[in-house]
Amino acid sequence: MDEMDLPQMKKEVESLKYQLAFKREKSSKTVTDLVKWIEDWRPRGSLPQPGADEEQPVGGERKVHPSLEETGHQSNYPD
Amino acid sequence: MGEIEELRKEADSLKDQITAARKAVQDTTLQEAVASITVVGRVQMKTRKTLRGHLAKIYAMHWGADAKLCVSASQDGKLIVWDSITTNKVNAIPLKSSWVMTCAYAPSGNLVACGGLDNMCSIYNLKGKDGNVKVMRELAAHTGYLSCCRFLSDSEIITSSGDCTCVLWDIETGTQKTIFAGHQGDCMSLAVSPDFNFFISGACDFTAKLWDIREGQCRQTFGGHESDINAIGFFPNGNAVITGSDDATCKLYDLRADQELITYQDSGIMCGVTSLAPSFSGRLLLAGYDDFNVNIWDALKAERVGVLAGHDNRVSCIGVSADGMACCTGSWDSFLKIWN
Repeated sequence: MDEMDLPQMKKEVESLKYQLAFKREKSSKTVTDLVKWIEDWRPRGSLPQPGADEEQPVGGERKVHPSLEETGHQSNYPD
Repeated sequence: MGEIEELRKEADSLKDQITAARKAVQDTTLQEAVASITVVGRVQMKTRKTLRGHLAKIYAMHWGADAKLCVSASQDGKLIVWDSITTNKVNAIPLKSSWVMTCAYAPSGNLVACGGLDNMCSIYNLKGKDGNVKVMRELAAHTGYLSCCRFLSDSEIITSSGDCTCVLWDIETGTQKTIFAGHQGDCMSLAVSPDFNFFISGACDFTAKLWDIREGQCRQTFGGHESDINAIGFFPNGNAVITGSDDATCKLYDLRADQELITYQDSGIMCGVTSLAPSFSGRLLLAGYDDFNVNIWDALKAERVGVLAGHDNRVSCIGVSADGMACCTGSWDSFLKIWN
């Protein structure tokens, strides 16, 4: 900001006024919505399975995250 | 001198008011909201395909909307369109300037674009009547290098530049429709929102800005990074932004509440972030680093849950396909790898 000339400073002030006017929502709503969006996500074509998003191999470690594998669909990149 | 000083004071006051407005709506944190959620288990992905053919550092890649084709740009002076499933080269386009830094695939699949130290964005028509791929338009007006470009459609493209601006272009006429000025450092990366109404830019002034494409205004500015922002992306639902920086961290920003949510960092990671892409569900964040690796983060818990190790040089670019089925990494080792 120290290097701005007069026209740039005027634009910067106008931009900051515009940004201040933004209608902010409570994070208790926005963060909850964000987390819910992720948790409710399902691969295309699969049915919601309450309590189990994907198969858990023995040992409890997930091999491939469901968003990089469509359940029930053939991978385009077979082994 | 006096007027500038007054404006500077006014700007500082406005920034303080924005900080206060953000605090006023912060009645929870992401950490609190996910306290009862378990970290995802270890994520392991394999290299399914290696795309070989470039002869020098790869600087950029971008998936086509069909989730099969992708385009890559290398300083061997070539733009290559790949079939990621067969590994065939669909097109190998020689460039006028080999100093390319970015490339993009139009959503229609008809056009690709690239640019770099020539300060221009060159548009190529892949579907010309005679079958030859030719330069369709050269968009020249930036006074600095072209760092990133992304198509809105076959008629509009947005570019970011080392001249500290981003520009919305009319491809047909080759003219600038809107100049987005406000960053105080080189613009390094941009991403378009899923609804195509907004875009975000990351710059060497350590900030990210959200721009309204039609109004031409900066709607929000996000700080917090301690060095250049090299990579930026939208969270899949369009309501959050992810940045990657030379300060070795990635950050998640909530657009609706206008604030930083979380930082993805590890004391063992001390090199810069070059590229990033969220998974289709948003639960994973894949980030490429200068140390040749891609780290996979649990986006909600901010814990590292996997590593893609396979490149022999810096990972310069990364993208998740439109169907979420695969991730592509490009590297200075001249190879692209498809992972899932």
